[in-house]
Amino acid sequence: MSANEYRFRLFVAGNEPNSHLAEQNLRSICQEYLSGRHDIEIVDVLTDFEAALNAQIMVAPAVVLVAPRSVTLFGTLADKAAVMSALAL
Amino acid sequence: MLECQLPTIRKCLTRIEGLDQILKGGLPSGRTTLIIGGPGTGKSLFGLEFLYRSAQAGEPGIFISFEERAGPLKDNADTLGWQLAPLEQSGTFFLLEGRIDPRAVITGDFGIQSFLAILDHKLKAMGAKRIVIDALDVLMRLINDSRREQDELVALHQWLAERDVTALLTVKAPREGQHERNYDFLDYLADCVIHLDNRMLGQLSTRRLRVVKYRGSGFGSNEYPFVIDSPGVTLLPISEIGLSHQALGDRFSTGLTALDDLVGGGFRRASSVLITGSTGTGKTTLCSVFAQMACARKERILYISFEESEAALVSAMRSSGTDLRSTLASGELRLLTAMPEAMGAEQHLVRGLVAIKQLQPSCVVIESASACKRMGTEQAAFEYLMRMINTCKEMGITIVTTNQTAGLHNLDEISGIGISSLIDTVIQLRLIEENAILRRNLLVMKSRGSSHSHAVHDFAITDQGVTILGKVA
Repeated sequence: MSANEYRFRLFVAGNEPNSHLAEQNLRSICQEYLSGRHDIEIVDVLTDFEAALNAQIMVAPAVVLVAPRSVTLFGTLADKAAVMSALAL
Repeated sequence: MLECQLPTIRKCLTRIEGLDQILKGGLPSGRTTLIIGGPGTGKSLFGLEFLYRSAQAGEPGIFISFEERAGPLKDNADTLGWQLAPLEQSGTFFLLEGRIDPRAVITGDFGIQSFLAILDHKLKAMGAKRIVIDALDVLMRLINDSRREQDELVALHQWLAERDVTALLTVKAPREGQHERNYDFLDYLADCVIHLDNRMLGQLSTRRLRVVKYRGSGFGSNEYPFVIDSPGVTLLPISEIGLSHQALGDRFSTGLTALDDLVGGGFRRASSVLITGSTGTGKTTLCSVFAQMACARKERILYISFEESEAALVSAMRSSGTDLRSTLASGELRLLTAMPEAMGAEQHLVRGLVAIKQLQPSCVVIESASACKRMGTEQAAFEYLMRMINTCKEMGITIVTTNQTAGLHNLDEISGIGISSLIDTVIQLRLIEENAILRRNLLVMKSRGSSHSHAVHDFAITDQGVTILGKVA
């Protein structure tokens, strides 16, 4: 099976609340607008610091849309409209 | 010598020329120091040099840049002659580009755990105890909420303290009239606070450093001028300098046997000599003869000229019988030429001091004291000459300066610039017109610790060199 059209990497900092919130918000937006067309890879910066270093992710939570275009978002993704506009959905 | 008198707090050498003297031994070890300065004041370079010199000494460190890209930073280091690549390879230096993509969208809360996790792993892997966080204000601006900003700063400060890390944080000074962000709070967290600025004095820009706070330690409280030039940042803690001149040493030849006799057996080591006279009296010629002689003895000599280019000087000297080319080629003679107006007195001073440090000469020539006035103000020229003469005297180097006087008979103009008390030997040169013939006169006006001639002598400059002729009848 080939990779889906929208590929996200979600950088979380262990179990802290902001990271949970960001994951919930991302999943809910994806379900609503990108159902069946997306993958979410979760990276825990506390254990996989090399990935954070390579992607230059200094703050968490952070979402990087890897494909189809490159977009970076920081924070809990609280403002749904802002996230949709950034992702051009 | 650098130990502090107060109940001792541990210090960490910066190894930046002059800074450890001002900080009385260095930065507070295991604590946080803040550098605040406007754009272009040299904050990043202070941090980079601290880590570069530490890494060279085998103390690993991590540089995190939140603003500048790694490329330009390394280019900057290159131009100063700092070789970062071998230190990166050996694991004693690491540059983390923490630049935040300006197109990134921020929505909702976040924290700096990711940054700290990266830092933590790197610290442990490298065994590093030194960190520079450059442009912390950029990271803080991202948070954009003063309450949360304070929380993050406290957390960062705590995190650094727990790891016993000596940290140097830099932040941009707010422009005038701008709302001061949380620097007051950072000021309060940091154990040592240093301000940098870059202002115009006359028509020359001058960089200055001031330590505004140092918990548990004394510090030099003046404003200190500094220069950024190869080999790095150099501070000039003028008021920290005590007088520790070496005693006048053995006599050695001036290059002319007859002149040796007139000054009482030659110049003395670690003495300062002034050759004064109006234009065309032969000051430069005497300096060249002196330089040539020193090189013939296999001594190194630094010749600083503010009046002539290397080519002009060499060609002028050839016509009076002194060929400096072979001594220049052999590296014994080093010429340092510059227009006095080309840079500020501080930068001239640093160039001179760096050249002395590199060459380790036995003699220094400065031509001329009068040209130094063109560095800006008379005060700047005075400080330049005073520092150069003092440095030479402290290091046991003989220093010869010339001074161009305007009048032919004006004795008040001996040194011209108020440095007379630092001068051990004064030789006055004059041109006298007599019976339609121009005669050259030489008089040793003063020679400390020597019984010198008090008679005026004739002398001649031909393509064979300088000849002292005899007493003027």
